Amino acid sequence: MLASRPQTIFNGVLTSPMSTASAQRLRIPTRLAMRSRRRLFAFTIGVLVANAVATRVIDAVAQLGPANALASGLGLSWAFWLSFALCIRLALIEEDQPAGARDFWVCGAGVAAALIPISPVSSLACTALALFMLLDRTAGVYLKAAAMVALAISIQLLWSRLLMLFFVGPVADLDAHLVGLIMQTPVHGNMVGFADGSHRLSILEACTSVQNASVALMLFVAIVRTFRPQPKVSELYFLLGLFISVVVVNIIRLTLMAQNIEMFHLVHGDIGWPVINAIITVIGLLWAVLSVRREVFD
Amino acid sequence: MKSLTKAWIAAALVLALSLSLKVIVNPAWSGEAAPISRTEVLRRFLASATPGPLEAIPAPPSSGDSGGWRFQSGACQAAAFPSGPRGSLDLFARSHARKRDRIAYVYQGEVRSTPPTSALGMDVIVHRLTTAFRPTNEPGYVVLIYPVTCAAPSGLPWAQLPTG
Repeated sequence: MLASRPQTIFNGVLTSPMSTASAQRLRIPTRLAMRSRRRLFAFTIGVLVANAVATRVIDAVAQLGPANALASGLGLSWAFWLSFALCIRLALIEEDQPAGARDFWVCGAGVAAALIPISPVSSLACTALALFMLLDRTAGVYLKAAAMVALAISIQLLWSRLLMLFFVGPVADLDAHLVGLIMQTPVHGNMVGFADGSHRLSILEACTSVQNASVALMLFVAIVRTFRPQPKVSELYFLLGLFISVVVVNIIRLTLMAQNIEMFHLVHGDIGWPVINAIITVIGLLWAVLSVRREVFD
Repeated sequence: MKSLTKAWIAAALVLALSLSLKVIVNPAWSGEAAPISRTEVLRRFLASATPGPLEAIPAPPSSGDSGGWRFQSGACQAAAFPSGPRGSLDLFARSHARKRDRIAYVYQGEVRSTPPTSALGMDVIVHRLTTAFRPTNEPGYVVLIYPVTCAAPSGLPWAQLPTG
């Protein structure tokens, strides 16, 4: 193992003879050991996230055609692409250090995982890489900030979906009971009666608050870390506020849908969906800006 | 060539290689024949396991749902549907249940009163990891709808019905 990381680096040139020797001991070519650490991590995150979403992008292009797929965010939200770009930017603005042997091994493993043609493996590797960067004491503040965004991205891509795979029933039931509580209409599992009694509204996975909350979390972390790389405890309150806002907006949406069939089609239709998504994105942005208001406006 | 340029070229090649592998093995573009639909698998099973004729219950077009079948179970009429798309909570199948009906779920040969969420979740993960390179049906269960006055059609050889 490398006992210490070289301290003196100018333009990517490694000047510490001890570190060069360590790299040679580990059979890492010296030329490679001279590479920039920030670029190595930025590249690995980029490869992993690109591969994590590759299947969805391919499916979107295959189903919608290139132009329509591009217009609809390539099978993902524009909040995702913004967060991805900010994550890479955060890693690249880290103060330059040479990549150590351990960094090469970890990033090499990440790239190897990306070469496995199964997208969730890349998401899993992205989580592991983000945790490694967060736990690495030698990582600078911007690398850790990039790691937090990468972790939020992997939560949105993998972990929230796994959660819903097992808990979609209880989550949908909870949303249905909240709507039923507001409207005072009968609730059966994930189904709640319309206010006019004509129909019943079934709350499915795509309608639950968890999907919106994971996107809002990713956007919040990306914006906040961009303006303030160092986390603060007060962010947790803003994050809590964000989650409550997202749940409230979603419950209002579901309550509107359960008024009558005309309202259902309006809110659930081609106009209502983009409007609600835009409102949730704006709410995520507002809470993020509120959290970093001093860094933004001072 | 500058080392930075070489690094960029190497990075681009690695990215292109990894993404190309995803494109090459993607079932949507593989050209392989699509698997037999779960509705058809269910029809074949019911046709061989039940005496009477089957009546189709078609799913709305482009809904992503799978159609089901009405069949004779003893003295009663029952209906069976392949489970719906993930996250749909079997909306289409359950919409055919009336107040006088019961809903049961069949998974891996076992008839149960609740959806097999945990077992299915684990099987879906394994399926995604092991059969990502060819077009296959994701594991699923069967939703049974039968009158409360009748017994669940558990006498059928459900173990012979594939989960995928």
